[in-house]
Amino acid sequence: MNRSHAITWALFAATATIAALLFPALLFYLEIMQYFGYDITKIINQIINKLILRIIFFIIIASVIYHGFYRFKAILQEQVAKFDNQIEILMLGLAIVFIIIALYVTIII
Amino acid sequence: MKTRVGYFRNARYTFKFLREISSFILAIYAIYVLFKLLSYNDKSYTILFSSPLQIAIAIIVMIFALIHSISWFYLMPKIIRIKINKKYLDSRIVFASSLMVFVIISIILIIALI
Repeated sequence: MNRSHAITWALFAATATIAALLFPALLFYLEIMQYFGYDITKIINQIINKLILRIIFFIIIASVIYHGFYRFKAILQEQVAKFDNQIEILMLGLAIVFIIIALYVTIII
Repeated sequence: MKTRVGYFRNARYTFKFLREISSFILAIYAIYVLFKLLSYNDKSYTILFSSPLQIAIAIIVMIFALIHSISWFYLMPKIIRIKINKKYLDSRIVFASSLMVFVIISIILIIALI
């Protein structure tokens, strides 16, 4: 395993743990709480108005995006054996683009 | 040269495929949420968050989120083996305690956010 693979794999493991631990709770809070009588506008405004919640939201969303694209890269590489490098560049590139969009939506706006 | 992996050859490979694809579905949903938040305003929240289609999507994604979490906690002790007193800790103990931590953290987070 070379250095860049070690870094991407370490990121994969870290983002997997963040996504596994925190994403179901975030999904429950954002989408399902409203069916238990909580006001959806209040839920969303709470996230929008507090910087710390926006940062946490960004970390979770960015982790889910990176982890998902990394795993999809693995599926594609197992199916299309010839284009390992191209698939890696495409998938990790897409992940970075969507993480930048996430940064823009959650923190900059 | 690598050969193609047949994911539906047996249950083990199908489970592997489900594990891998669940995290990609979560990533697609995360991007979808970003676009929902971009177009969110006081008038659009019902369509974006409370329509029957949104309920169906939320439930399906929740199932995949739980598949992802449980399969990751199942896999984790097999990747990183913990040694105590020269003996490896049983992976089932690590799996069970990870699940317990996951449930406790989820409950604490939701209570803290309410």
